[in-house]
Amino acid sequence: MTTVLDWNRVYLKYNPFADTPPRQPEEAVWAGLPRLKEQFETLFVQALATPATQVVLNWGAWGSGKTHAAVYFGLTERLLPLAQAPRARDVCPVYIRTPKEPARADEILYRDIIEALRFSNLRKFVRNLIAEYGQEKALRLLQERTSSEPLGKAVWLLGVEPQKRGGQLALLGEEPVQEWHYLLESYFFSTCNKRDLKELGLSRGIDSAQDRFRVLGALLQCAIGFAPVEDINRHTRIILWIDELEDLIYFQSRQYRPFTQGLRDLIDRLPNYLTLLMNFTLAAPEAFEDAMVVIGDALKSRITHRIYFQPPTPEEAYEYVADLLRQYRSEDPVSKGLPATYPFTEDALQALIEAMPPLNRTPRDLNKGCSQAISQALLMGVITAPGEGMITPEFVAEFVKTQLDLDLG
Amino acid sequence: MKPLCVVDTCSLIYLSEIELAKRSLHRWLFDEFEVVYSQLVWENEIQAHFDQMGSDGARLRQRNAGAQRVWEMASANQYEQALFNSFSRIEQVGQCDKCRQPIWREREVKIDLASDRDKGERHNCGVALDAVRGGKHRQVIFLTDDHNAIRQYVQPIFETFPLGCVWSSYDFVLYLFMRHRTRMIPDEIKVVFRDITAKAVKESDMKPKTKEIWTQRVGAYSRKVERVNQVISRLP
Repeated sequence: MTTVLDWNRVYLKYNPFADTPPRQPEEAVWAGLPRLKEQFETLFVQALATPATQVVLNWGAWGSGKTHAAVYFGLTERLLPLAQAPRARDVCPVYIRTPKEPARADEILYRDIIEALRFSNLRKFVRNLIAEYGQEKALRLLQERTSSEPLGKAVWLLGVEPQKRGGQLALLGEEPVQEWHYLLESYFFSTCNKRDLKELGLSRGIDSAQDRFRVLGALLQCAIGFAPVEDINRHTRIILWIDELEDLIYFQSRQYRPFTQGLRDLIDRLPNYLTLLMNFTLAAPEAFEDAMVVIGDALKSRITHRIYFQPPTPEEAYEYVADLLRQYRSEDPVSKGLPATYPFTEDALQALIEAMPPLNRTPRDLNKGCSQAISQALLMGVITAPGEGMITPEFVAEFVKTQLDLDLG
Repeated sequence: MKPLCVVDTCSLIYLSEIELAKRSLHRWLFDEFEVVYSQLVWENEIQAHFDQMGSDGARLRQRNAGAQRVWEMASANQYEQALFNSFSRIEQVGQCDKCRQPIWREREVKIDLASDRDKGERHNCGVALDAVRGGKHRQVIFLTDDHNAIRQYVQPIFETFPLGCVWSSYDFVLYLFMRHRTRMIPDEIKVVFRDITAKAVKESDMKPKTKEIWTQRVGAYSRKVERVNQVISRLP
């Protein structure tokens, strides 16, 4: 039998202590940890106000909030207001995970980025380019960018809407044709045949890892814009977040090389207006050099910033929980003469945090501990009605004995 | 006479189909050492995993070549009984109430000798003891990458019985570098470490903590190879 807990009894809209990161950026809230937030905000201010490409390594223990940060900062409306004009005209956040199939890693990375960008957006970026530079110059720019006539033309075709005439697709009119889009999308996913190539007017497909990263570089450049580098407000900043980079440990050298060298080439092809953030799970601060070995020299040499998700101090952990409670309140307990940390007394919350060993005090551990303590108090009838009953240090001591030993120890 | 190397199936799998200085690691292993394993390891484990060893597995299978490496001993079960029937090892017995650090203590453990789990390691421990006790080999190298089995069985035995040393596949590759440094460079060795690791982690139950342990292993051995290189390059 499952029991639905009424979080309103503790003046909360619902359980604020989630086990997993939110799926949508709109759902994400930032609680406490002001130092960490400031590090990211400083990074993004720099990203919006200056052209240089940034390559950021985020590292910390499992549950330290790396994925949460990626989701939280994956919202344009959250990023753009960070910097005053002159700043980039827009940001384009892209979140992907390290491919789980090492044998096809470069292919999957390419596919995931394109799918995250969406073809409808890519078509818009290339159309804007053509509108700005005209068809011929846009084609030339893309062919230069990809160092290939057919690959550059394929990107250019994304911005050219065809019209069906007498059964043939012609690149003249304005009416979008679904069939044409489908054909072109198949080209980018290397699933078209020779007849399709002929219909598209392209002499070859996207055949190698190098091709894929060249095409990706050109597509991202279309999103960024081709204006002179110093015209910051005529560019879009790409924020590419790659999660779970520790999974590179699954890659054999023959799989790892094309992947990391491809990423390095992408960084080198986009020396401006790209922010690449890589999340790497590693708890022990002294093991940082080990992470560098797994990441490898190709990427290591390109890293410009490092952000360490260090375990919160007891004070930071207290502020984190208090802030999270504050953001999910249905009613303010202070106005009813209760502590701001309700259903915990202040001492009880401190006791719960101090019972956690420093390395097991990540936001995920704190969420788990608080969620279980409140759930248990509700289930055991310690809190019977809103404002009636509280989690005391004695309750926490008993809870720690029975629960934390098993779950958090 | 070559040193005796008692090898476990997982190491044979992890070392398979990887080349170093244009030779397969299997060939290096069989050239450098007198490689042996127990009858049980050969029959129940190695033969069941030929496919995972690719061409190296095919070579072991060819004309039953792998059978030639079985260590001849009359009473493998008797060795297992004697070594593990009354057996103690250091185990976590609790957690400190204050600092929550694990508390370790040596204690007697009951091993289910009928269980197939880790039976290969237990029989290979018997091989190591028989080899040294018989007088033909003074010491052995016990090669295994099953870190759980090392902790549970191999290390407690080697701590009590001075039979030699326990190596992982990384140790073996590091040894090759130390011995044949003129034929290899540190970066090649690091590539081999990566390839061994990729095979090992594919086999494991990869909790985040386990992934971290492997990350730290690769890092530690990459530093060791640099250190070996640094020292040997200073020698005449």
